[in-house]
This record gives sequence, structure tokens and C-alpha cells, in this order.
Amino acid sequence: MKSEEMEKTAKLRDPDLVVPPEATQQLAGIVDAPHDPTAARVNIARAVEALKQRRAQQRARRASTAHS
Amino acid sequence: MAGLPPHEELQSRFLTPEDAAWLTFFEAGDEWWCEEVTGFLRQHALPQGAAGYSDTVIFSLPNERHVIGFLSVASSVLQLSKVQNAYPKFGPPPGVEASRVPVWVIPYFGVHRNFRGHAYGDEMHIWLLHAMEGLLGAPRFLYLQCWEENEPGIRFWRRLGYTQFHQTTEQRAGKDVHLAWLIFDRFRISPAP
Repeated sequence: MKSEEMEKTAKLRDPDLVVPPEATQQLAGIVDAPHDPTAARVNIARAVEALKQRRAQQRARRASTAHS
Repeated sequence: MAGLPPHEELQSRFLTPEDAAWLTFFEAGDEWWCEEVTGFLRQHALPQGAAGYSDTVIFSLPNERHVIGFLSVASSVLQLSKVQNAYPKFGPPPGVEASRVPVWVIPYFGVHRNFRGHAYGDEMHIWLLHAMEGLLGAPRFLYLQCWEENEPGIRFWRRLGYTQFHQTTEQRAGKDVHLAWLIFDRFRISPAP
């Protein structure tokens, strides 16, 4: 690693968060789980659609109960 | 309901001392886990907020002050190894050796017992996701603990996409009771609730 990169890494390293070497080895090769940067918005949109459907079902159920 | 998006039936506001009188009317239910939720809102939400430990948002019907539901959130951290129980491929941020992952914890979340069955919990959770979206520094993960004995609660969180990653056991009235630790990844497209 170039000295510049080492310095950069050192700055990022929080002493409270440094893990023991053996744990570091365990983590080696693990990469961030793939994700879509827009996933948060997609999840919200899907949750809104699910909410609409759920409410429609609940209203139908209440209406059915009221008429029975 | 003028002013609210079509899917919203509740108005939100941050809990302040002016709401104290309204909190006494809130009841989550008779079950012991519901009593914990009620007790938190009535006794601890305001002092914890004043001390900076958590923020509580309360939800009411439009132009009313009665508390239909509430949620509390606080910043926290989880051990990376715990997060990996749910998401095995999740690792530390590039360039940083980290053993902990920043998260927001939802210490308490409840709907008034008289207003169950209206999907208000779903709406409140969507409100939280909206609040986090685009917020500088908002973490990737949300997590919470739910008593396993609270089966409707467990079903609710699982339906919203939360995954259990840990379990602890505690004693209550001489019996073992179990806490499920659940986590939600905002950056991973989850199956529709």
C-alpha cells in the first residue's frame, strides 16, 4: 500500500472500532452485500402500495361484517 | 384529510411537554408487553427525549390531539458479527476496520388498542422510512427487540421485512421469556409486505 493510502486509512480508523487481528482475518474477503442505491425509495414505494391494499381489504372486511 | 398524501390517514408531530396530558389516554393493550409500551410512552418518553436518548413521534387523526400511535427511535450500534447473522455478506465499510455497525433502534412502537386493524402501524413505519430517506447520516439498518410471546408483534415486523438475527432470554415472573432481535436493511429491496 502506498504511504498516502496508508495515511488515509489510518485517518479513517477509529481506535474504538479497531478489531483484533484474528477478527480482521475472518473479515477478509467479505464485501458489502450487493444493494441498489435506490432500494430505500423502492422499498417505501412498495410499502405504500402494500398499505393501500391492506386498507382496502380491511375496509371490505368491515363492510362485510356490518352487512352480515 | 386535505393536505395528507392519499395513503396517509394520520398526522405526525414530535412529542413535546405540551402533549403530556394526552399521553395518559394512550393504552396499547392488556398484555404485559403492551403494558411496557404504554408505560414507556406515559412515563419515560418525555424524560428520555429531554435527555437526548431518543426521539418520539406521535400520530393523531387529522386536527385531533389524541394519540393513535407512536414510535421512538434512537441511534445505536450493533456488532458486525450480529448483523452478519442476518446478512452474511455484509462487511465493514471499505478502508475502515470496524467491528460495529451504526443503526437506529426502535425501542418502542405502539398503536392504541382501540385503533388496531387500520394498518396504522404500517403507516407509521412508512413515515419513519420517509424520514430517513435523504437524511444526512441516516444509517442503513433499523433494528428492534420484540418479545417472542408477542406473536402479533413478531408477525407484524416480519411482514414489514425484518429478519431475526439474535435471541436473548430473560426472566419474568419466574418464567423464561424470549426477546427476538430483528433487523431491517433499507438498502436491500425486500419482498413486498
